[in-house]
Amino acid sequence: MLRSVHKLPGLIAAALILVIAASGAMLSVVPAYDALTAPAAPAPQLTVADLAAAVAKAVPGVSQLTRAPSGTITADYSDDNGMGTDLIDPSTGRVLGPDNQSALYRWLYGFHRALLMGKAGRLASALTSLALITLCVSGAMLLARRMGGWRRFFARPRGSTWERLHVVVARYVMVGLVFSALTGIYISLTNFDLIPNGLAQMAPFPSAVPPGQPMAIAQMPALQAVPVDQLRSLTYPTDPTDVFTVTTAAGQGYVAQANGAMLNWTPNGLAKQVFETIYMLHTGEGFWSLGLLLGLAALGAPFLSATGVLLWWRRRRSLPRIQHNHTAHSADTIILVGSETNATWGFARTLHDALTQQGYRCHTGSMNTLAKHYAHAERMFLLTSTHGDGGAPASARSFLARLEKIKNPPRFPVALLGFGDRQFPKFSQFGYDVAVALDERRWHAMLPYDTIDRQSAQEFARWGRAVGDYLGHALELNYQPVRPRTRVLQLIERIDYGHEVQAPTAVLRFAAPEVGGNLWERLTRRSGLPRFNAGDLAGILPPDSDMPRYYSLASSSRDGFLEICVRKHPGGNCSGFLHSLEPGEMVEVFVKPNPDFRPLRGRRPVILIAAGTGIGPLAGFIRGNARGQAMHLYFGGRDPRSDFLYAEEIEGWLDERRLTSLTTAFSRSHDRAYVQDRIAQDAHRLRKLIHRGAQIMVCGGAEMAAGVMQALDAAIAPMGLSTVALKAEGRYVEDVY
Amino acid sequence: MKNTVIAAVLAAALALPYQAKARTVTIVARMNRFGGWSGAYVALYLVGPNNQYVKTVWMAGRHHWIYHELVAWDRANHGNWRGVDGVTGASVGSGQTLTIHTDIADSLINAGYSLVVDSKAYARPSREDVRIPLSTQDNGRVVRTHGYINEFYYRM
Repeated sequence: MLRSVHKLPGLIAAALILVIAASGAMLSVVPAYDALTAPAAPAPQLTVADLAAAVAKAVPGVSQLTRAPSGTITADYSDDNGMGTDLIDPSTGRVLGPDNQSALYRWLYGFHRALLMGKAGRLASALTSLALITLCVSGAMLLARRMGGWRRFFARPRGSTWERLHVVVARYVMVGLVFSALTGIYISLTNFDLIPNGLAQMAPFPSAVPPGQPMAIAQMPALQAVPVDQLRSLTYPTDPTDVFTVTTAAGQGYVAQANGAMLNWTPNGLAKQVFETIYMLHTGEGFWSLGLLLGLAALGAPFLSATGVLLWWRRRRSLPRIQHNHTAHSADTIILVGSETNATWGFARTLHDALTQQGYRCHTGSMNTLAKHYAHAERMFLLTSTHGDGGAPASARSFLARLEKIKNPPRFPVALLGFGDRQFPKFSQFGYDVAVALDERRWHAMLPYDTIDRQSAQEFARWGRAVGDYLGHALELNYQPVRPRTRVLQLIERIDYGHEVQAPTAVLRFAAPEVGGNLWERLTRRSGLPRFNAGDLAGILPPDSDMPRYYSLASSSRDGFLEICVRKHPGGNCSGFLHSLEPGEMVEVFVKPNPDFRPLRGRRPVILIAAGTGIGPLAGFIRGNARGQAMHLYFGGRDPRSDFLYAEEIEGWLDERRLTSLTTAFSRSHDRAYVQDRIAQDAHRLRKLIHRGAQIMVCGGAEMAAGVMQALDAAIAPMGLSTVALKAEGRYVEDVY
Repeated sequence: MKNTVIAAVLAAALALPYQAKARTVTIVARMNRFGGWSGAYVALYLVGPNNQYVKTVWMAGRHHWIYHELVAWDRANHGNWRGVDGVTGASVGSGQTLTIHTDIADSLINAGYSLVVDSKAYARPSREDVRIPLSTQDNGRVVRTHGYINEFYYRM
């Protein structure tokens, strides 16, 4: 819901926001430019009487004297040869030259307020402001929700580079944009006469003007009473019986020529004061520093429009296409998917298609869209994977929270299916958590909770038959995995470790194979290295399998090669395949970004903790640390002589100051230590580092990660900190397998 | 046939007094190139033999709070901007031509009444460019000015 509120006005008004904000940003420079180029301010004792007299002498046929908010004074004159405007020196009243207003400025002004389209354009401009406010407010709410509360609104954002840039820029410019949009809407409303602007309130013209010969302008007491910097405009009389019209910041009145007395002085009404203040705040006229700030904020709007549309497009493209997808409201069968790598969506699509063929009206969506009411639903399917160490996958992160808000269980039955890998200790843990939560809330189960191991099509088909039995007809679920778009890379080097300690591990380095043919062939064949950073994931497809295995990347594409650390698991299909590779052989690889697992840029130290192959991505970070950011590595292995991965390179990195310090623990050496033991011993040093704002990055097996977390919690408890708190700040990140 | 004649005579008899009372006047004002941010506000109004305000023939421009800045018109009309209901239109851009058709009572023609044009562009002062008697003698006479109005005439 909130996302739609953010998305729809964003997409509809993106182009308008882009041009109106860009023109506003350009206009914002004008008050500052005017203030810079305005002639020197007059002496404070200089009055309008002196100035008006001097101008009357210097400019024959002068009809009006105007003082702009920047302090620039202009005189309009009109004679038999036409009309003109002169720039006036505020101190002497002498003519500085003709006043030429920039045509570009006038064009921009007209464009900004009405898109050069009259009334329709003014309406479009006002609606764009409204869309901008909606976007800022809904965006702020989305961000707060995503960061986990308003108090964490300014915490480090997560996600891809563009997502983070979108959030960071939005946080800076949001206030300015809302301010400009609100004041702009107010000005639009007064233009449409829906709010009075008080400009129509003029001093009533005097019914009787004192008769007599005009006195000298410089002697008129009413004009002598007004200092020049209070003046807005002065209209000269057209004949000896006419009057001067004086408008100041405070009000308006008329000055008789015969005695120079003020007639019918009328102070500004409230509506006019409000309008003038808001107009000044919107344009920055007379307040150029605010104008520049608002202009800077306005510059952010085109960027946010563009990145917003880009992010929407990416999100849309990454969602699997489901054909014949009914709305949640109209469907009789609801299929909700919890997926991190989008693999589960393929199963959902198979189920969706099979049920649609049987005549059901199906809706497939992410588990994060769980609604309180489904008007026509008669059954629901939940298909979910598990992320990391038993956590919720991306598309189900808010599922349990949403579930908690639903007071009464629905009348329709629910079937829950978990996806996972039995090799991991917490096999399909999140699916299990959901099952427990549903049970506690007395949701009616269609089938007992079931699981699918390693994307097995056979198990899925079996589950489909059980669903068919329940529905009372045959249901054939024929799952065809979709192969991700891969690239072929060639193994160029491998280094083996750990044979002696029964932990055979290989560091494998791949590069793009030489491709023949012309440039076009090379480009279209998607050859070469994909773009990636250390810490991203490489998906590898072993031959005769469509199920990718993910390995953390130990290099970035800037290094010119793709490096992973692979430990051979007994019976492991993919690790066995990789270990069998000889230099020169090819593999199929694709890259999955993992933008949250990166060292924070800056001067703050980084504590890297790894065991075994977990050192891979951390080695990639150290190799890329040419700036010499402080990095402290804790590494745990079995035997320094056998499985000390990257031992030689680490020595070089220490010399080059890419790595600041190294602490090792080996479980089969004489001191029999684990890396968490070193953490406990180094508690004092770690506390100092964390006090200086250090970020902690942990990579390795789940058991080791749990041990490290425990040891660290004990170490930093005296500081009143915990790993949970650091995690929430983005200062404790894990890549656990 | 007889009925048709009677109807025609009746219609003529009914129409004649109106024909005798008022006639359609076409007023044309071509603007100078005054520059400006947007169109100019142009007030066309009638004044009597003693320069007293009679009525506004046309007001080009839609924002009533700008009307007061047409100083000559505002003073003649005593600030009554509501008096222009039904005779307003869009402001007139630089170099454009404003053409108006209006009915004017015969009793006002050749009787000392005059047409006055007061104009104003954004952020510029107002200026009374034209004051021309409403008479058969001035019918079609072109007035040229160096103000907002380049040329002005009326035909009746």
